[in-house]
Amino acid sequence: MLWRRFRNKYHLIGTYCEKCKTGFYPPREVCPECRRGGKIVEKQFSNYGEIVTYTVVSAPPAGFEKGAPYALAIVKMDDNGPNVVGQVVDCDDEKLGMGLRVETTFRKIYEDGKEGIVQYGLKFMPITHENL
Amino acid sequence: MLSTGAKFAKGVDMRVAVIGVGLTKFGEVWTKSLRDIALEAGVKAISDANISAADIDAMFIGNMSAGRFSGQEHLGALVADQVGVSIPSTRVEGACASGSLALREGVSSIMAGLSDVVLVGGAEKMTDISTEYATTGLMGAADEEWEGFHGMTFPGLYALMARKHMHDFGTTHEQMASAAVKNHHNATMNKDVAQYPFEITVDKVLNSAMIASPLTLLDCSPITDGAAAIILCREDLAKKYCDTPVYVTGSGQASDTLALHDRKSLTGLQAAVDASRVAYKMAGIGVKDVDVCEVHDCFTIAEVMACEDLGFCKKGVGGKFIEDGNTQIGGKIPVNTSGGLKACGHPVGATGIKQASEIVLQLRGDAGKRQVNGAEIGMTHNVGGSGATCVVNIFRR
Repeated sequence: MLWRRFRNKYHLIGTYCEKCKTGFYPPREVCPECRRGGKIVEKQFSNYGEIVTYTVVSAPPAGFEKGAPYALAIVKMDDNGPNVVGQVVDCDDEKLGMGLRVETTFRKIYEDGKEGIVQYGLKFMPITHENL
Repeated sequence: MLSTGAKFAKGVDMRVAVIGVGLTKFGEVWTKSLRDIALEAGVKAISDANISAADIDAMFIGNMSAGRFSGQEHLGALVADQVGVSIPSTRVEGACASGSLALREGVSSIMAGLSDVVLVGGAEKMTDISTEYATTGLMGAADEEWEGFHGMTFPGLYALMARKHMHDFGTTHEQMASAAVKNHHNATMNKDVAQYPFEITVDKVLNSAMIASPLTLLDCSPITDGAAAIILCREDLAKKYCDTPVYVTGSGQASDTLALHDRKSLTGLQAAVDASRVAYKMAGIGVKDVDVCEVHDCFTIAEVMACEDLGFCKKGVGGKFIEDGNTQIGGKIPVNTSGGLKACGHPVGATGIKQASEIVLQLRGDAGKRQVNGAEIGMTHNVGGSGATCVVNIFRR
């Protein structure tokens, strides 16, 4: 039922509490700090960020066998954006590390079941040129 | 986040005793099905308590994913059927913390006056499916929509925490590995239950197959079949059944975000901190009073963080604390005398009950070669998912 999340998954659109200025991705409908006093709006987050922590997965779950080993990272998005988790691609092993600057890239994530429905979403890759 | 537990600041009179424990052998038990092992643990606990099934008023069964692992739901009724009773029997689910949640439900039922004697059990049959499907099934304990979607695994989630802990505090892989080495050593003294009762070395951990860097195979708890059960009863009835009852004196449970990346800290589990603080308050004790503890070492880094979250040592020094021998039997605070999840095995729904059973054996003085001398107060730390649920239970002789 991932189609319900296409907008969020394809565009890094989450929500934002205007009262405490906190971004949420995945989107939250209630701010955990401000509760009913918060003001939640939709927000497009920056597509640039920095690796906070990472791993290379060698023992994949079902459906991801073909791509293994693959890198996964938690990335802190720019402009006080949220932490986002995703695969890191097009990145040499020696380059992968804490603090690496990355940008989102639209990619195939996996093929779903025997029908082979292709699931797309965002991955990260090293920034080729900082978008100033 | 809204926090819980402030109301227990003055302590709570729990009035619940443990009068019996029962465990199956943990491992790849190909000759037995889910119902076989659940029944075996239940019957052992009933015999140990020296009661009959007719004395039991209710049952709570911890199980994470029988539907996915065995195609069987409705575990409460399954166990009642196998035991041959028609009393209330309820399945409780909180991922890998399901067992401890079942125990809390049993305690609640007695404290509410609904029951006098309760069987709480946990069971999981995990080896009837491939490792890939078990890995996928276990990811149901994390955020399926936002983590599992990207090919995340449980070793992967704990690897993200391990890497950050190493980066922020200088924790080494050798330090983390020392937790696995110690737990395997303890398992050699728990041969009747433990899945892997043999010694390993730090070198072996570092050089075993990579699972999710920096975590290798021997940093990870295994996939296990197993069941555990304990009998709870009203404190004032305990001596009727048992000469050496153990009392439940504190229980804390807390929740955190389902997804790891949503948390404020990636180097500790806030739910474990919160649950332990509630449990300490209820029991009216401090961390220094704990003589023996079973922690949720699903991965070596998890034991490092548990030592910090529970307050055994300061934040950031958990690795060195374990490497220096403080958590060995005979050390400052013996941790995972059973062999832990790592070496005793981790049948997810059963783990919390196995932890409680080990603490009960320690407090009774029935732990054999792995006995912690003079243990009076023991504790269990049971984590669901990557820390979205945490339960801490405290027991006293």
